[in-house]
Amino acid sequence: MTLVRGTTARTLLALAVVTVGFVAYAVLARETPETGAAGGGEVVDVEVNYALEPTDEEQLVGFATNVFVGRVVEKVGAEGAPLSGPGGEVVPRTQFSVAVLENIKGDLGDEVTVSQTGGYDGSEDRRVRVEGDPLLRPGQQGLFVTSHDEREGWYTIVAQPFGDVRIESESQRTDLVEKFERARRAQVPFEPAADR
Amino acid sequence: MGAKSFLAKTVLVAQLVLLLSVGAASAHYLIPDSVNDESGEIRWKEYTRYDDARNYGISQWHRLGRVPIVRDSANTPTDVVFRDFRDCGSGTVGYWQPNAGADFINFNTCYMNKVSTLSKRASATHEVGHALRLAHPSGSRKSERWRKRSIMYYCSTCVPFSAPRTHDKNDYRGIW
Repeated sequence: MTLVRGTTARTLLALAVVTVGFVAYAVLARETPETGAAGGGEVVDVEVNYALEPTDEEQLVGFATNVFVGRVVEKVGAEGAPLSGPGGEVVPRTQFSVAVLENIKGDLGDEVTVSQTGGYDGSEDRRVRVEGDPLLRPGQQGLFVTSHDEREGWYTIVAQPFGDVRIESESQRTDLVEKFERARRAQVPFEPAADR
Repeated sequence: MGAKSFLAKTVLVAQLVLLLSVGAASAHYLIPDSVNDESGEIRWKEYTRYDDARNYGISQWHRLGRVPIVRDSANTPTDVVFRDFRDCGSGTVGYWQPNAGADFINFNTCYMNKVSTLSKRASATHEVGHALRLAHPSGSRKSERWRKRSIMYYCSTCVPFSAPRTHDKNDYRGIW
């Protein structure tokens, strides 16, 4: 009788442990969104749909006009992309001057203006990020995959966050430059399939 | 010995439960969506030039039946607004953006103007999928498997179709 009671108690305890563990797991899993929610109104991540395979460096470099290592000097503008329709809303974009340290594709001079999609959204009083890509900061060194926008006169970062890789060490920089040099040699030009 | 046996059994059962729950959680969902909490529908308005793509994308999800996606009217709140913008060089065809008020589906004219009708439609279907809480199945990773199996693949101009696939419909039904 005692043995049966002991077995039942252990089974119940085991079930309780498993249930508590499962509930904890379920709660934690639910609180790990794939994207930043709008809740809180502080930062919102937009879900981007790309025109190319952004994680394929050969396509990324083939899409770009210029790939280079640079150091962010300062923020120089916050000119958004106007949206159609009423209200005067824009897609937030932020512009930075960037000192060019090493060209990988193209041949840029000392300093260029780089435009990053994201920034402060005045209409909603919040910050917007593209797939979690944080805004550049002065002093940061990075590898920039960019496309020259002749109309705007600046170099737009391609396929964020894949087109702006922050560099934390010399060895990382060496590895990145080697990787993107290889990608340049095998680059795949962007040729979208249009209707015939 | 009894305590060890008990612990081993507990761990075994817990692992089984976790394995089963991981299987159930393999769908790809976002936390926010554009569905109106009260009406259970998506009411939209538009300022986009890509009418064919927009209508196609809406109809693909609307026909699944669980979330009506209909144009707004004077006495209904707007849940999604379709708009266009120009951001050349970014390599983005469009995006879905959750807001405190109406959410946005924005199309980038720089690329929408260059791609085929199939890709325009695929892009619209993809964005409306986000409005229904569907996420990119491979996250931020290249995946040949998902490129062939989901309209929610992160490069909608890379997929060879424009309508939701079986996995997408299962995800939709899993949520709604």
